[in-house]
Amino acid sequence: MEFLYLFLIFFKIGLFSFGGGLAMLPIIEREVIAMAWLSKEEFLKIVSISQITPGAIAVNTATFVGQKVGGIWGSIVASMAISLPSIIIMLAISSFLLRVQNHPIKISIFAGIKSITISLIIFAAYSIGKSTIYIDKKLDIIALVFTFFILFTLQKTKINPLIIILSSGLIGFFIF
Amino acid sequence: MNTVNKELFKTFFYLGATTIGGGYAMIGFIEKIVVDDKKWLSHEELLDILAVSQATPGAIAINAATYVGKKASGKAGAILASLGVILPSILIISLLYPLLIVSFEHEKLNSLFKGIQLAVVALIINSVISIFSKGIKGVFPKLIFVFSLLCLFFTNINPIYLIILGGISNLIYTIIKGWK
Repeated sequence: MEFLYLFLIFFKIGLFSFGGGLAMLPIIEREVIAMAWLSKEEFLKIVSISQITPGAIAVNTATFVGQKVGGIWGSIVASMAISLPSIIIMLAISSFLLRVQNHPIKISIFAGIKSITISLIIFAAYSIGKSTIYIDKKLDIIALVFTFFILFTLQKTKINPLIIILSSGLIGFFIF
Repeated sequence: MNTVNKELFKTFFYLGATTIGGGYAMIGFIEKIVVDDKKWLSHEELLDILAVSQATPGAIAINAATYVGKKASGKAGAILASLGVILPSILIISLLYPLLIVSFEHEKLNSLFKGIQLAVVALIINSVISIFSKGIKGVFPKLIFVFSLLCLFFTNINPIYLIILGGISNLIYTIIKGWK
């Protein structure tokens, strides 16, 4: 029974949450706590781990919850269930998109949407930055300088982003 | 399994296994591998996928995998690419579960997490710098961009409405401009 619930709940989350992994987290939190699978404390911990282990954040969180509820099979059921709706929907949309790829109406609509896309990405950076750089109404100067330093490195060199992330974690470990 | 399918699975498995910090932070990385190296997509299409991802449910990485797989090798390609991007999460978390749960009790790990988050912010800004000029062309789309940014900062509007508004308003603008 537990596996069925895992599948249904995570399929529902995958089907109804828009805006990518970070936007899905509050919805996962609500469902997982309502099912009494995790406490709020445990959930927040899992979210943090999901952001520092490789993979999509929403899938990682689902895998974790599944593992906790039903071991390895639980993790497989939960991660498949949260991914399945995107795969099905995207399969349908991609056939359509590939067909209208160069149609003037599609190009015009997407030119407008892309402006929104980029503003949403900027806002995502702002939201994450705000929660780590501006804490308790105080600006963390070291964190701010560190962020600009990483940005400068990214602009001036061709270092693999994975190495950038891992070494930033390591530096963070010592300076924060 | 044919060569393209194998290549799709391998590439997306690699992306899934090396992507930390979520889809937005990895735009530059995905661009380098999928657009520049493998040539499965154009820059234009990558931005299309980003746009579609924001307007459809689910994680961006999976949306991108499904689209790229479908385009390169049909339905089988789509499923293999999507499985490839999900599998590392399952493997890594299931195997490291006992270790991850215990080690995270340690206070110091919050500093590590903070360092990573700052890198994620820098990576996202870096992605924006590289896609801005490719993504926003013309005066009207720039106006939409500014309007959208103001809405996000000063209201609690659901992004879905912004996406619909952005698409439709630019279509109307293009039609009116065409009449002249």
